[in-house]
Amino acid sequence: MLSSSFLFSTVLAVLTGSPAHAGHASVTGYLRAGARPDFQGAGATLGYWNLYGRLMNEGPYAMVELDYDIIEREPMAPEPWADLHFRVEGGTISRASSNGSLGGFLTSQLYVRGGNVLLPDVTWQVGTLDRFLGDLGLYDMRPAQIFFETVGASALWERPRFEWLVGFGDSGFFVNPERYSTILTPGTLFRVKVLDQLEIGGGGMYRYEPEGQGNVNAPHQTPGMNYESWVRGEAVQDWMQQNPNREIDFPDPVATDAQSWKLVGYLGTGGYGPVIWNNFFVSWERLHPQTTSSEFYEGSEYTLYVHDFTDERTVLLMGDELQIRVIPGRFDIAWGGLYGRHTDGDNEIAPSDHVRRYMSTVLRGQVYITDTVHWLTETSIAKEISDNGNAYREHYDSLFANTEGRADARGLEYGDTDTRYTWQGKGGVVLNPLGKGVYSRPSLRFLYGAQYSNQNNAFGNSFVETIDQYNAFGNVERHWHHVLSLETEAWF
Amino acid sequence: MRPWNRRDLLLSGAAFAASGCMPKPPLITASSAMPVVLAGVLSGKQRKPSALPEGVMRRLARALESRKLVPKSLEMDEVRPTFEQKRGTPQRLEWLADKAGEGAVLLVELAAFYDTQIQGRLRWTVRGTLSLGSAAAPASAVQRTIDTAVFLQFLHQAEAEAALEAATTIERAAQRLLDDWLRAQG
Repeated sequence: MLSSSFLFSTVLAVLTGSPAHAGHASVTGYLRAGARPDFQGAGATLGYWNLYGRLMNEGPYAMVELDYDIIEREPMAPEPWADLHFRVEGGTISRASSNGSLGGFLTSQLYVRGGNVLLPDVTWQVGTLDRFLGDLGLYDMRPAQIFFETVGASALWERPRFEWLVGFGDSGFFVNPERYSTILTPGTLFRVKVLDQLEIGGGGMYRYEPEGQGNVNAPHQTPGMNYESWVRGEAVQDWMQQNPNREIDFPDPVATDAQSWKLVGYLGTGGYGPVIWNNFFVSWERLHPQTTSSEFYEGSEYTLYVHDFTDERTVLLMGDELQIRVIPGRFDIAWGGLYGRHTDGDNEIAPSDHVRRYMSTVLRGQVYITDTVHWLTETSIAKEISDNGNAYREHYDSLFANTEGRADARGLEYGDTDTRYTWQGKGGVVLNPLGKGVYSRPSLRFLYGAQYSNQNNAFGNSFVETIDQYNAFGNVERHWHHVLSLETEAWF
Repeated sequence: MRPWNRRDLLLSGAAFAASGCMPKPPLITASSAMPVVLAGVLSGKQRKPSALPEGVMRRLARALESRKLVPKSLEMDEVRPTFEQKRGTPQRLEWLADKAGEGAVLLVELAAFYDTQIQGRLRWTVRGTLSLGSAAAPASAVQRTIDTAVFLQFLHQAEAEAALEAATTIERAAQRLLDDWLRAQG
C-alpha cells in the first residue's frame, strides 16, 4: 500500500497547485433491457450462454459510471490532469434477479487517474485496474484482459504507436470476498502499432497468495482426503467411517501458498479492402486455487481446505472477430469464432466445467434499409464436449440411459452424451437512431430467435426434471426453443 | 389462428414503409448563394492540431449546401501554422474573416479525449465549439457548443475516429447554428 499512497498523495499535491479548470462531471454507462416473451415458459434467454452469440442469450444489465474531472485535460498541453471514476453495475431490472434490490448491484470500478505527473505521457492509476486489449462483441468476451480482479496502482506510458502498462496490486478482495487473504498481483500489458493496418499486443499477470500460518482464510489443504470422496461430497463421511469414534482427530489443515497466472495475446489487422478490422485474441490462464468447501456430517458442518484438489485448472481461450463492409452503406457483416479448452489435472473422474472443450462460430449480417432502420440476421453453430464422460441429457429419461445403458445412481456422469450441439438463428428489425453500423448504438431491436439442440430443454428453465413416478408435472421432450425479443441496448 | 393472406402482407408492408416517412420541417435557406469559409480543427493529447476527418467536413459542407450557402473548405496546411499560434476562438475567427474577405465564416473547433473502457467499448468525449459569423463582423459570431460521448470499438482508434463517430451530433449542431444565424439575417 506504500506505493499506492505515495502516488495518490503525489497526484493530489500536484492537482491542488494547478491553475487548470476543474469540476467537469459526466455520467456514462451501459444498459441492456427488454422483454423476451418465451412461449415455452423458460428463462427468457434463447440458450444457455454466450457461446451461441451474446444476442438473446444474455439477460438484462445496467452499468452507470460517474466520471469527474478533478482537473480537466487541456488540448495540446502537457499539463497535469486528473479524473475520478466510480462504476456501479448489476443485472437486477424491475424485479428480475434479486427481486429488484439495489443489493444486486456491485461497485465494480473505483479509481483515480492522473496524467503528466512526474513523467510526460504517463497516466498513473490508483484503485481498480481492469484493462483489456479489445472485445469480441459477438460473444461479449474479452480474452485479452488483465487485472479484472485487482486493486492497486498502475502506470500507462502512451506514445502514438506504442503503449505499455505496468501494474501491481492485490486480487484478494475479489477472488475471496468473504474470506479475504492477500493475493499479490504484478502484471504488464503492451500494444504496438506496427503499421496503420496491423498491431500486436500481449502481456500477463501473476497471482501469489502467501502461506499464512494461523490465518483461516489463507490457502491450506486438509490431509487424508480422497479426491473421489470429495467430489461426491462424502470426504468427511468416509474419513469418519474409516476412523470410528475419532471425530476429534479429524485432520487439521496444512498451510501452503497458492499461485496462478494468466498470459494474453492480441493481433489486430484491418483498414484494407472491405475489411473494417479483425481482432484475434488468445489467453492461457491457470485459475487461482479454491480455498475451501463445506460438507455436513451428522448435523455438523465441516470446512475442508482444498488447495491441492483445485490447483491444476487451466483455461485456454482463443477468439476471433472479423468485420466486413460487404456493400458500403448497405450491408455489413461481423463473423466470429471461439475455441476454449478447460483442463483440470486433479480431476480424471467426473465431468465438470473445468474439464471440457467448446467451439463455435457466429455470423451476423445487417442490411441498412434506411440510415436508421436496419434488418439484422444472425446464426451460430456450436459444439461442446465433456472430456470426463457424459454431461448432457439428450432425453428426459436419460437417467436410464447412462454409460452402456446402465442406470447408475452412484455414477459421476450425468446424462447420456458427452457432446452438445447447438444451432441458433435470429432475425428482425433494428432501429438505430445514430445511423449505420453493426455496432451502432443505441439499438431498439424487435427480434425472433430459434434454437435447436441435441440436449433436451437446453435453456434456462424451471421444468421438473425428476422421472419419479410421483412427479405431478410430467416431463417434456423438447429440442427446439422459440423466443421473441423486444429489447434495447445502449452505451451512453 | 388463421394463416396470413396477401392483404395482411400488403398492410404490414405499408405500415413498415410508413415508418420511414416521418414528416420533415422545411429548411431555412439563404436568400441568395453566399460563400462561407469553412475551417475545422481537431485537438487532443497530441502537441499539434490536426484536420477534422473528411467524413465530418463532408457533412458540414452538406449542411451548408442544403441552405444555399457555398462552402469553401480550408486545408489543414493553410490554417495549422496560424491555429498553433492563435488558440482563442475570437482570434481565429478574426483571422478567418480577414482571409475570407466576404460572405461568412464557419469555424469548428473540437477536442477529443479518451475516458474509460466500459463493457467492451472505449468511451471518448468529444467537445468543442461551432462559431458562425459574417466576415464583416466576426466578433458578433453566433456559437453552439457540443459535449458528447462516443464509444469506439478498437484500441487503435483515436481522436479522428472519435470525431467521426460524433459526426451526426456535430452535423445537427451545425444545422441548428445555421438555422439560428439565417433566421437572424432575415
